[in-house]
Amino acid sequence: MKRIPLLPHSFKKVGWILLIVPVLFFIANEAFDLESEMFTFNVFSIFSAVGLEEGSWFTVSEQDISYTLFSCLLIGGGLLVMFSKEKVEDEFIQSIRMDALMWSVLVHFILLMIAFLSVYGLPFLSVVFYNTYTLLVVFMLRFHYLLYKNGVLSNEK
Amino acid sequence: MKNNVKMHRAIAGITQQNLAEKIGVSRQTINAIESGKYVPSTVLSLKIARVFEKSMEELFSLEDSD
Repeated sequence: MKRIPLLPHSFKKVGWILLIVPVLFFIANEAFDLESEMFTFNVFSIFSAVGLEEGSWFTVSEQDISYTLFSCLLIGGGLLVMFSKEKVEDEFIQSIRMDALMWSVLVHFILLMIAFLSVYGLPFLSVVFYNTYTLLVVFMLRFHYLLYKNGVLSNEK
Repeated sequence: MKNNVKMHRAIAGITQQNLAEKIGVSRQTINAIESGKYVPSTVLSLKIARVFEKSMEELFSLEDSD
């Protein structure tokens, strides 16, 4: 039978660990307003611009990469959690996976649409920033809620 | 779809875990099938039927709402 290709179950733990780092970083950043100079490096960019200037292609420039790291860890960790097998990955789990995927796509785009209708100007940048992760976050919440409800997580029922 | 997997499992005297292992799914999947929360695929239904040496129709039947 056709199955969704997924990574081995052990990758899920790696994903959780990768997720903890940016979440802690985010909390620390909000609470203590960290100096981000420790994350300033010379990096290659395909396209970059400072402020409202024109921007340039294929340059190496000094940039604060804290959000680059933060986002890559969050997305990488999220994808590993989302695309790793459960202990027993059978068709029932796959139907739960499908349910969670439909939910996450729906919630993601409804939130984006609400933002389009209600946020204007520069603050929309933070909408884009947070909305990047809603799909992964809603998938993880819905998927694990359904696993828990059906006793897969607690090995009950 | 209705099923009487639970009854046939009781007659055969095997646990949800035994049945799950025989057909390569988790025990929670058997539980979800028995409680009508999940409708198994044709492949899985045939595997269950083979364990009990029954025909599919003896184990599963359509409901009016199907």
